[in-house]
Amino acid sequence: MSSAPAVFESFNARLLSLEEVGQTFVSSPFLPAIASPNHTAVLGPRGSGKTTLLKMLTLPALLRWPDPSRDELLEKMNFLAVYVPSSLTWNADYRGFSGKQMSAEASDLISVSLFRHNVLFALLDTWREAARPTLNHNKAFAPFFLPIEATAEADLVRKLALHWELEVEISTVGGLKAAISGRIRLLQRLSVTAAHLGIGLDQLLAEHKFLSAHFLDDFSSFADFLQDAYEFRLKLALCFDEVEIAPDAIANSILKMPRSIDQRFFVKFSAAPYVGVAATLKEASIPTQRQDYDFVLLSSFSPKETRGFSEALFGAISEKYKVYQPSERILGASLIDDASKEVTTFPVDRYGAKGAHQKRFNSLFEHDPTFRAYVTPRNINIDDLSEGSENQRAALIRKIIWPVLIREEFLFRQEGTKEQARQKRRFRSTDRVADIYTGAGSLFAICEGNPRRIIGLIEPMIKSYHDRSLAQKPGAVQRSLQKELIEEMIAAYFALVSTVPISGDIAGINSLVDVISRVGNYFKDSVLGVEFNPDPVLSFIIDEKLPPLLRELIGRGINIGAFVIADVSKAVNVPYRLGEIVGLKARLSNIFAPHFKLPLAGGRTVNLSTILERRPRAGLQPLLQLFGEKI
Amino acid sequence: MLNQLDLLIISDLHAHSGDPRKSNAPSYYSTNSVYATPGTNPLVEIPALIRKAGLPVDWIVCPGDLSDKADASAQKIAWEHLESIRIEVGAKKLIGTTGNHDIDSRRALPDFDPKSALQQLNPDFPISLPCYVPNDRVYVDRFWSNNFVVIPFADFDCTLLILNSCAFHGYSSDVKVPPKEHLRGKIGPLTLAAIKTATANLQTRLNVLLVHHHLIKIPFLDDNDSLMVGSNILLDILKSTGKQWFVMHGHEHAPYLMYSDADFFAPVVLSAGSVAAKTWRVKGGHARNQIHHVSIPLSKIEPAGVRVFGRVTSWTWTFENGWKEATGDGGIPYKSGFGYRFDGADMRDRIVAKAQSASPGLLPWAEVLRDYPKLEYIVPPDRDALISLLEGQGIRFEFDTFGVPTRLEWRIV
Repeated sequence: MSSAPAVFESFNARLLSLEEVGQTFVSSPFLPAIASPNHTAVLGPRGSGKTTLLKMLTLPALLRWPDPSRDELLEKMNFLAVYVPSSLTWNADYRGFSGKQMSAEASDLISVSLFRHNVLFALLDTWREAARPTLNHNKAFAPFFLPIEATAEADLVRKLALHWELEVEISTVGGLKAAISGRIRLLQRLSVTAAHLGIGLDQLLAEHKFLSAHFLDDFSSFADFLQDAYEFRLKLALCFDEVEIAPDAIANSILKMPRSIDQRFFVKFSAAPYVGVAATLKEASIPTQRQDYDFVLLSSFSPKETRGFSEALFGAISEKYKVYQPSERILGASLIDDASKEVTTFPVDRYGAKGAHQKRFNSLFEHDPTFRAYVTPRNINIDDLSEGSENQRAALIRKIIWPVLIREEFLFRQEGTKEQARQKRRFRSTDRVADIYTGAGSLFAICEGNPRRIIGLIEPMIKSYHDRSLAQKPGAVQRSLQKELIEEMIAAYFALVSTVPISGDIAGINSLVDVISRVGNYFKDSVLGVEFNPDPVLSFIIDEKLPPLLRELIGRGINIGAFVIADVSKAVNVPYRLGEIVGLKARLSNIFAPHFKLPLAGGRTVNLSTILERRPRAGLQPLLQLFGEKI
Repeated sequence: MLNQLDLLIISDLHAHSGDPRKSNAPSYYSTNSVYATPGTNPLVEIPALIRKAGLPVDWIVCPGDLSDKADASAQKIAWEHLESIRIEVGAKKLIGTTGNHDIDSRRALPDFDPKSALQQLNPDFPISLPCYVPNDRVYVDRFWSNNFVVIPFADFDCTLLILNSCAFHGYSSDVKVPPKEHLRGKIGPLTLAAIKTATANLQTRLNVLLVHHHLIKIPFLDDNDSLMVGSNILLDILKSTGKQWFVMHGHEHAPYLMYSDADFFAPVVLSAGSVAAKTWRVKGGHARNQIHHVSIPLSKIEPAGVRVFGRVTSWTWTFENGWKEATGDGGIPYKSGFGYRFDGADMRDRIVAKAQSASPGLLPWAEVLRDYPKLEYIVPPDRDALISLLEGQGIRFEFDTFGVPTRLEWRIV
């Protein structure tokens, strides 16, 4: 994997070619669903892998993907994928540096035409990629082969140019591409002159007839062309990436496409989970789960679901440094590794006498009377929790492990004499990340299967392991380094969150950081309250009592990954409607867990309005608290 | 006789010891090793570039201005650097000639001896080649005493004429007092007469002139009349040999490939440009720090030497980006040639006929070259002219990244 080093240095798949994506792709459990022959909406926050997964459907990526499951996937794909990246330059106002504005209709017209021509580029590129002779040498790829013979190229290009109403300088694929580029340049100039000269819609359409052409017609004519020229019977999947940054007119068109598009096409798009423009669509047009699109949500509510992928990505990163050790050898085990894996047997060693968990249970039992009051009636042998390991008591113990660890760590864990240990319950004053958030399992849980987070947080640790090995200093990555990197990531994340704007005034809320802080502290109080709570509140419902502006802010928080929503694709009773977050269950991202001293596990749910109705602590100014020393 | 002669031309280094990034630095070639990285020093990556291109090199040729403003230390380092490049690329010879910046014409050094630094260079300047016995320095001495030297290369059936166009620099170098010798190149009457005698009975098929100053004006460059004095007579002498000469020069910092004029024996003139000097925009929008590989297929040149053919491969260097295949119109394109002069209208009609017979399909340019293989040996201005003529007859072109035609299509005009 000679190109892997450069690839892992690019955290954003946007910057990678289709071939690079394929060459370094770590198999994701979401790929089969996204590759299914349906209209698909791929939803996920930043860094969750949306772009990578869409690009993986393309021929260049699949050709370079060395995974043994590739051919099987291809056999199930009865479509040729056309990848269409999003671009801010689709917006006609992108070049509005003059300060003058076009009319909204003219702006939309030019935006849609810019988008249309970029789609033509994508269709043309797809055709060129499908013309590679290597496809025909592989049985799995042969159905997608669309040769461009030298003797036939001119004729094929003329036909396509006719379909798309393009004038080509020379009848080659390159000439067709140049013609599309020329149109885009013309549109870019029109966006400036139309604004300056106040040219309206009528005049634009009269002078430039191609502006009235629609990309839906281009898709159909392309499909016609393939059928006529190649007797191509497979479908085409139009894969639109990052729809949330597309101009509204275009996003609207994409979202409504399944209801209007030629049956020879599938539509797949990626977006952040909360797509604001969907809320502006007419009721009947809002894309709905299983009716228009199959929704695939890339963020997972449960760390268990992401452990396998996280390990696989960890392995791929380690290869770059020629480190071939399991994650627990490199990062050390975390206290909750058994809780985060699918274990079928009770881990006797940790829960047995003098095991890591037993010690903590014992410590809490000794110092926390409310915990004693909880445990005693349940006949749990605090000295040996492994007793009766296969019964309900084991399930009970496993269920409360996180609250126990958190309380013991932050309320009572201290070195010193027994006398000091009998002191009143106190919060540890240090802000440093606690040990329980380090080690393989905890780190993967913090990253939540988000590839960008995994690369950003864990790659430096792997590098450190490699460097220390070279310096003859073997051993797992130091916990101090792990904590330092977690702190840095948390600080960077808060900095990012602090940039999310509020559209208007929301009583009592100044920023998204405010909301996060109040939710985080509410959860923290639930775990670290006066009384031991075996089932603390660790998630919330986005309820109807929340004002619209606050819901919008929560939506932005979801998009940025601050909140993780439950898997909408699994909604059984009421199909999820894109953009409608009321009623959804959500939690704080695990990245905040070390900061708010929260478990890396699920918990009970309350309405978000209930959380926010609680008055914030006096003197608590979240931004100042977070950045105060650095301001 | 060997099959071909391959030259790598690296001209006008203008070496200095300062910071090449400063705006007042004369060139990007600093002898300070701190700046010896591919993005800041154009010479660093030349061996790797040639290796990657897979091109053989027989001679490294430097048409002068090794250093800037007669900086003797920089000059020495530059010459040694070129020698190390010669060794790395496996070339047999390093050949140079005097540039105006190589001579202490303005008396910068304390002891007035304008050409002494060049005379002390190792390996010998302008060429390290024995005439009769090893280390006899005969050719070196002739160069300095006669202001030129003629050297035969039997294995290439080649005569090399190295000319010192800076022989008068340093004798009258006051800008306020004529004749201001240091401002332009010059070949004196005595030298011209000697060259005429020395080249009167040439028998070699390939005849090459290496000189610093330009013999003809470059069309797009205003050079304030710095044309070499005596260049017109020199050109006449070269033509009178009845052979077509290949001339390489530097000085102008503007790469260009052309014929001196329309005469049958007009020499091919390659203005090498500068590998490192800081330049300004004169034509086109692209940088013009270039080096050139010239490949002369000796077997294609008739023994009489009336036509010289060659292929030129050129690269352009830019600060921080390093070397790339030359593109754009600021210099010599990546792939070009010289030697074939044709009737433009006639060639146009032949190609149009071919394209019409291929219509409605496309005609690969490779097929045109198959029928007219000498079109590989046309200078860039002639190629541009041919393309223009063809487009005027309804031919549409597809070009590759380097501006070379790949396919044509004929359309009714």
